[in-house]
Amino acid sequence: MLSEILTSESFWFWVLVIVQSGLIVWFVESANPVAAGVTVGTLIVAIAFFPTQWETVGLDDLHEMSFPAWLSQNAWALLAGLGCYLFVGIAWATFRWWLLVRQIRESYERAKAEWLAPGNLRSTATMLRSHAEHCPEPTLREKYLLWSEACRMAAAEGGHQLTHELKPVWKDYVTNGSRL
Amino acid sequence: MVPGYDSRQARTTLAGLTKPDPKERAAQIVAWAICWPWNLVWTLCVYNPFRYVGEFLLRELQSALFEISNGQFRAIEQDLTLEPLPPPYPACEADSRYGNSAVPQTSVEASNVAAKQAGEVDSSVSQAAAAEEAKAEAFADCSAVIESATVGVVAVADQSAPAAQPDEVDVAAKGVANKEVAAEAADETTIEDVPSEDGIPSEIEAMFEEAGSSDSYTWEPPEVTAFVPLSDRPLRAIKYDTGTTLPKKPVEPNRPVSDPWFEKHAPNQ
Repeated sequence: MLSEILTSESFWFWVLVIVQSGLIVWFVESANPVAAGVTVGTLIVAIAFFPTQWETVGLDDLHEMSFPAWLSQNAWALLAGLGCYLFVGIAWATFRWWLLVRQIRESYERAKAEWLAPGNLRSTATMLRSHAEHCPEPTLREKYLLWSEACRMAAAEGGHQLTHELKPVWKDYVTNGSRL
Repeated sequence: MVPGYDSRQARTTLAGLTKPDPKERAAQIVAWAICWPWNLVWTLCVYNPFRYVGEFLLRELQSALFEISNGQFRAIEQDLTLEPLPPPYPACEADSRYGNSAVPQTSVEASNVAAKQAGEVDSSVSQAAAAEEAKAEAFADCSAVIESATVGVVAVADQSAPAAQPDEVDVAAKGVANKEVAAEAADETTIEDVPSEDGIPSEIEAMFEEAGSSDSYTWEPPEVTAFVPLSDRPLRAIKYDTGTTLPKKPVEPNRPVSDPWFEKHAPNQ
């Protein structure tokens, strides 16, 4: 049973497809279009080594004629298919870009809401005051004290609102990513 | 990096957040376009874009429906809005824009007045000043920032009479509170933004009620104040020397009596 599976062309064909697909997804996620394109090309070429599976992918005409003859006969269809493929790819890339920006924005909004919670603002104010006490530079100490007071006032007012005074603190948090 | 922060502390996913730039992520976008079937499957399995698409469509649909409602109900909301619009000319209302240093003025100005004598001017001015003093006191009570009222009258005497010097009558409303009303006799009376600190007294409110509320629905343009001359003499215009002269009328060239060319090319013929 196992030997039949391992010796069947279908099994290895689908193993190849799955492995290559995994590689393609990996390369796409790692923003490597060259490697992803080469992997797609190798997958197409590899299909030539599995003649029993040509029918599966719609290439059963290749059994009856040579590859150049098949190519010349289906040249326009291939070109049209390639054009449609690229057109859909561009549309998909646009949608995927929108999705990416949307995800970034949502993560930003979530982090902002968490940061503007009154409890977090109070702890931020305490931490900033601690920073100010241990900061030797006077201007920096004054800035930390100002920010600490802004956070304390915002927390006292209920939080959940990015006031004008809180904006520099929030910007520093976003820029540096430090947990204030 | 702002010094003083401990960079060893946990960093968030927002660290270094910048606006996504398609140029910077061109490789990613090309990979998406080339391998879209695989990326489509992966995105559907991992990122669940239907949630974002659904939220987006729902928000757009809500926005469109709200726009329809607003468009249809704009007139109805205007009918049902009870709050009056702000009056076009705020009169004696508390205005925090002016501090205590602001000097509101009630100015009444009279000019081009021919007076018999300076004494007559003084007597007629005194009557006008008394009336203005009453007004000034009323507004002084209203706003507690008015200290005194000053009536300035410029009287110009007749040719035969000696010219009366501009006289300034101080109709003191001193003791009201650290402010000043400069009232100058004129053909119109303007009350400019008298700030109130303690609100409007009842008598002033009654005066306003008699005149009607000054919101935008009931507001009517004020009547033109009739000019009341301060003397029996006819009014005279004052000629001011501005130092400029009108250009002289161009002198027409002497027309030759029998010039066929000129008559031929004469205008309006």
